[in-house]
Amino acid sequence: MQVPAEPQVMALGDEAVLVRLGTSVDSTTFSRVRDLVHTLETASLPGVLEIVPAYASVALYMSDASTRQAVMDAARFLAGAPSEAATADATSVTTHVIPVRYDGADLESVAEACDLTVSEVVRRHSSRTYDAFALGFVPGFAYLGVLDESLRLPRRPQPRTRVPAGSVAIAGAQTAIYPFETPGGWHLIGRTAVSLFDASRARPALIAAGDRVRFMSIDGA
Amino acid sequence: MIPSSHTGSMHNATGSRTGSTRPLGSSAAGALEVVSAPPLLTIQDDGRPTGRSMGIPRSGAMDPVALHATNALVGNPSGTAALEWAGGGGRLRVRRPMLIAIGGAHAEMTLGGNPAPWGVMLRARPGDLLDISAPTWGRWLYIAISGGIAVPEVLGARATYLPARLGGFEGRTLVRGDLLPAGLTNTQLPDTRSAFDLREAMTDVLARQHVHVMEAPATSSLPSECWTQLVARPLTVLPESDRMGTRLSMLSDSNRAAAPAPDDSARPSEPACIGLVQLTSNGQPLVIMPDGPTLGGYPAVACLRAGDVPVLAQRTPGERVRFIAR
Repeated sequence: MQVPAEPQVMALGDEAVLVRLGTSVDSTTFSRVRDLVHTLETASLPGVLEIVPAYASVALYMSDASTRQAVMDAARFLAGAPSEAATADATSVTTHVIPVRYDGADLESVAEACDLTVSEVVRRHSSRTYDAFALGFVPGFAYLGVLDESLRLPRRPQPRTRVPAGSVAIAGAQTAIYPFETPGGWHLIGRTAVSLFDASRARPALIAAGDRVRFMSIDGA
Repeated sequence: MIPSSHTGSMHNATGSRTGSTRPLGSSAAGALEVVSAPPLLTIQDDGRPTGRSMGIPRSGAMDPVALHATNALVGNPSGTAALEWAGGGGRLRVRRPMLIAIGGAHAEMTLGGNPAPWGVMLRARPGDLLDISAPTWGRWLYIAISGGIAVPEVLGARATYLPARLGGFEGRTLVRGDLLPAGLTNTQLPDTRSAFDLREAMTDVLARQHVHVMEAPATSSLPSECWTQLVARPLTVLPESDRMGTRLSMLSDSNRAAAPAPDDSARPSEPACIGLVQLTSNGQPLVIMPDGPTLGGYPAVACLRAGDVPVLAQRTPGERVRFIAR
C-alpha cells in the first residue's frame, strides 16, 4: 500500500485555494478527497463560497482575495489532520441507479476493440459502482470511474460534433452521461432517459461529485 | 419567452432590497427593442457566485470594470444586469423613458440622431434609436439602463451562459425583434465614484498593455523555461479567443518540446479558475475566461491577478500583451 503523499496547499489565483491530495485517479485517493470535502464543509470557513472536489484535489473558492491566506492556513491544518469523517463515509454517500438501454452507436465497435461480446461489455459496465470524481465539461456532466480494465479504450480519433443528450459513453478509465447535446469524443454504448441537469430543480445537477453511480441494463426498443 | 411570472410584474433587476424604488414607465416588459444585433449580444451581470461543483462556470461580464462603471453612471448597483455587445454594429430602439450609459469598448454611437458620448449618463426618450458601430477600441462594450435588464435570475444570476443555454434572454444571444424588460429604477446611489473616476477606470482597462500574473498549481512542476518565456516577451492574442478562453501565441519551439504533453489518463484534471493560464500540448497558452471550463486538463503555468482579467478580455485579436510576474 502506497503511503499517501503530504497534502499540498496552493493558491489558485487570488480568489481560490487548491488542496492536492495526490496525482492519480483511483478510489483510494478519491475517498480521501471525499473525506476532506466533508471536513471542510463541517468547518464552514469564513469567506468560502464553494468547495469543489475533482479526482485527487479539492478547491475552495472565495468571494475576494482578502481571505485567501486565512483559508490556505485553515485548509493546510484541516488537510493534515486525521479524518474523523472517514467512518461516516459509507453510509452518507448517495448512490444513483441509472437505467440504461445499451444500444449505443459504438457498442459493437467497443465490443470488437475489447475482444468481448456485446453482452459481456454490458455486463462489465453495469456490474460496478462508480465514483463521481468530478463535474465539468458542461453542467451536470459527471466523470465516473474507474472502468473495468478490459473496457478501457482511447477516445475516438474524430470526436462527434453532436452527441445526443442522455448518451452513456466510455473513454479511458472513465464513463459518463452527456446531459446535453454537445460535441464529444467518447464511445457511445447506451442511452438513458434520466435528466442529468435541469436548472429549475432545487438540485439542478442529478449527480454531485462524491456521489456513487450504478448503471442498470433495461430492455426494449 | 420569458416566464410569465416575470414579464408582467415590475421585476427589480437590481436585486437590491434597500432604498425606495419607482417605475419609470407604465410597463417595463418591452423597454428596449433589438432592431439589429451584433454577432454576440448577451445579457451579463456579475455571474453565478456558486455552481462550479455542478460544472457551471461563473459567466458574467468579460469586463466587470466596465459593467460596474456603466451601472454606476445610471444609478444602478454595480452588478446589475446589462447588455454586453461584441463583434459588430447594431441598433436598439428605446421604448420607455430611461437613463443609458455606454462603456467598456469604444464605438461610433448616436442616440436619437445625435452623437452619444462614451462613459456618460444619457437621457433617452421613447422612440429614440441607439446606433452603435463595431467596437473601435477594445472588444466588449456595455450598455447599462436604469433599473437593469429584468430577465429572471437563473441559479443566482441573470448572466447568459450560452453553452448550456442558461440565464439571460432564453439562454441565447439577442437577435432582431427581441424586447427586453427593464427593472425598477433604484434611487439609492450605491457607487460614489465620480463619472470622471469611472471613465478613468474603464480607460485603464482598455489602454493597459500588460497584466500581472502569479504562480499557479503546476508552475513548479513545469520546466522553468515555461515561466521565464511567459513573462519574457509580449504574447499575441489569437482570433480564436472568446468568452470561454483567450488563446495566446505559442511559446518558442524549444520550450514547446520541454513542456510535458498532458496525458489525461496519467494526470488528473484539477479545479480551475478564471484567469488560469494553461499550457496546451502544442505550447499555446490558453487563459480561462468567465465562460471557461471549471476543470482544467492542461498544466496551469500561471494565473492572472484577479483585477487584470478584464485587461486581457479587452485586447482584440492581433494585439500584444505582456505578462508581469507579481
